[in-house]
Amino acid sequence: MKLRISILLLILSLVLMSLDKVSKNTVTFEYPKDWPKPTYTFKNNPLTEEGIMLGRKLFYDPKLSKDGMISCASCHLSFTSFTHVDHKLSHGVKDRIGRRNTGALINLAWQKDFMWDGSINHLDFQPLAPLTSEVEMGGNLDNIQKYLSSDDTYKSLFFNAFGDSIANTPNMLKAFSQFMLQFNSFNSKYDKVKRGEMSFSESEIKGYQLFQTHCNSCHTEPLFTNNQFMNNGLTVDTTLQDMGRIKVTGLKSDSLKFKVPTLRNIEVTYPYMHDGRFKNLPMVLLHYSQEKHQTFNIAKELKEPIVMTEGEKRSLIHFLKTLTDKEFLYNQDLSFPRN
Amino acid sequence: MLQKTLFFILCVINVHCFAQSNDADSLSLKIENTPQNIQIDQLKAYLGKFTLNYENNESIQLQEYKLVDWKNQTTLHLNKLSLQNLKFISFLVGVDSSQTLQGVMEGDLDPIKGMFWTWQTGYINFKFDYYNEQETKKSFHIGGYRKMHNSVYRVTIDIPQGKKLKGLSFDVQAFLEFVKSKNITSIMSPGEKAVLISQHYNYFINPIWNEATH
Ligand code: HEC
Ligand code: HEC
Repeated sequence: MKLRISILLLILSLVLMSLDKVSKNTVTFEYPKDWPKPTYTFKNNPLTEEGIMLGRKLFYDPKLSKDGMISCASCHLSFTSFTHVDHKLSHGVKDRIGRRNTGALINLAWQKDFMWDGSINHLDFQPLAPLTSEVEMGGNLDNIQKYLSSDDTYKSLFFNAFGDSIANTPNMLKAFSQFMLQFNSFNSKYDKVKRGEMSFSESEIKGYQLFQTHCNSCHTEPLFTNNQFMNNGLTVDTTLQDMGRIKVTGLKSDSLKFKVPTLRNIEVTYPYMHDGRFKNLPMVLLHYSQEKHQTFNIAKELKEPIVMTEGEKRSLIHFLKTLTDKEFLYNQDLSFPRN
Repeated sequence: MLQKTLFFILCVINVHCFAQSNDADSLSLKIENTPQNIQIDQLKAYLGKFTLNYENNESIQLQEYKLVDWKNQTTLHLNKLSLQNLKFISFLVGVDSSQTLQGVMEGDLDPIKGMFWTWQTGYINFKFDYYNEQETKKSFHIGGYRKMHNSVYRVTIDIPQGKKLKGLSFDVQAFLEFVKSKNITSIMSPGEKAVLISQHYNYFINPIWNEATH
């Protein structure tokens, strides 16, 4: 009798232990009160500490690439707001040059369209493009799944995050998303001024006013993008022949339109524009204040050059630099996992 | 009200009964009229959001998508739903935009199935690859779900009285003749050609009939 009870207890405790192992620590997605609701489908992929941890390991793992040399972080560095700083066009496996400048990865939960032309419509699907692209990581999903399912560390990470040690592609993609959904920036000087914790300098105030007059219709607060596709009057690069959004929609009215990028952390995400043609912010402002040679489909706000004195341009740049969020850029939880 | 409730209960019982006999929901899959000089490599499609309309005007909708592989699969099961006394059945060929906006899914919609375009999000709704006499591979990959390039198309099959739908066949000859008549030699991306083919799925996907047994 006693033996039976003890066996029963043993089984019970084993069951409890195994339950404990799969129990996950849910994470709530936090953001400023006055921001719009995020668009990411959290209901299909609830955040957990374990999922985020797995995603972080994946993001920094070069073994996911064909030649074992390139991880997501090779092109998306945390302390530069996840761009490839100082590279006009990103290069990947075997140094093949990609077609476009790496975008900053910020506040992705609010983004509906990914890539400069919006060719990807959900964050979950984004990693598939570099993982399988010949010019980026050059890998193949079957091989990746084999690698992940045979590695002991990954096996336990997958088990902890999804209750299944077999690393299937959907769970891998969900983990990637969970980590990238942590790339949230809302602690810049601008945000602190908005919260009444700091105040702008005189020049920054002047810059903010110029910004609201000339830039806010597209780079709309608080995300500093209106999430639309627009043409800001760049001439077409004759070698790249990149026509932007039209490739995705087939609509002539979308020719030469690109996604309006966020200006958060713009100070550190140079070079600028989809092909990285401008090295610094003064050059960007020069573009906006010049006569445009390319006027087909150009946004109505930009048909006429934006006239600004040199002093005004300096103030505008002072304001743009208040969008730099050091807490985000140096967030240890987002950098290379040390353990 | 009472009638409706009774009717509903009866339907549930009905569905349940058919669930017992395990073949009531299965459609056989067949490839027909394959020309001698070609070798089929892959013949697959996403069929989804099935609607089953019965003679008593009852209608049932399925939300999911099924990856159908005509070359390697002989039957398609419709979640234990009865195929008796049907008036018509319809289904999407392809995965619509509302589904892709839900993010990644397991099972048949797993991108590892090779029916997903990574460089421009979207499922390949229909894939037909074959080798011709010269052993060159010919590919027809139909996809695209955005307004201008929407190639997700609903196919409806009316069931004549006294007949039962037994399966779905794919007519290779009809497909090849159609693409030839439109001067289409291969398709690998969304666009007009893909849309055109998608509007003619009912030329190539044909019902297989059985005399009904009721
Ligand atoms: C070889 C460089 C390279 C690698 C490696 C790379 N990316 Fe990127 N990434 C880019 C470029 C370039 C773009 C912008 C491309 C475009 O818009 O056409 C981009 C865009 C993105 C975007 C969309 C940003 C936006 O605002 O639209 C996300 C998200 C992203 N990458 C995540 C990842 C993840 C996750 C990985 C690893 C699985 C990865 N990237 C690997 C270069 C790279
Ligand atoms: C009509 C909409 C519109 C207006 C107004 C506008 N922009 Fe832009 N901006 C864009 C678009 C679209 C891009 C991306 C263009 C591309 O790369 O093809 C862009 C890109 C930029 C970039 C580069 C961002 C990066 O990550 O590469 C900066 C910086 C910038 N704009 C600053 C400004 C400033 C400052 C103003 C006001 C003086 C302004 N913009 C006004 C639409 C606009």
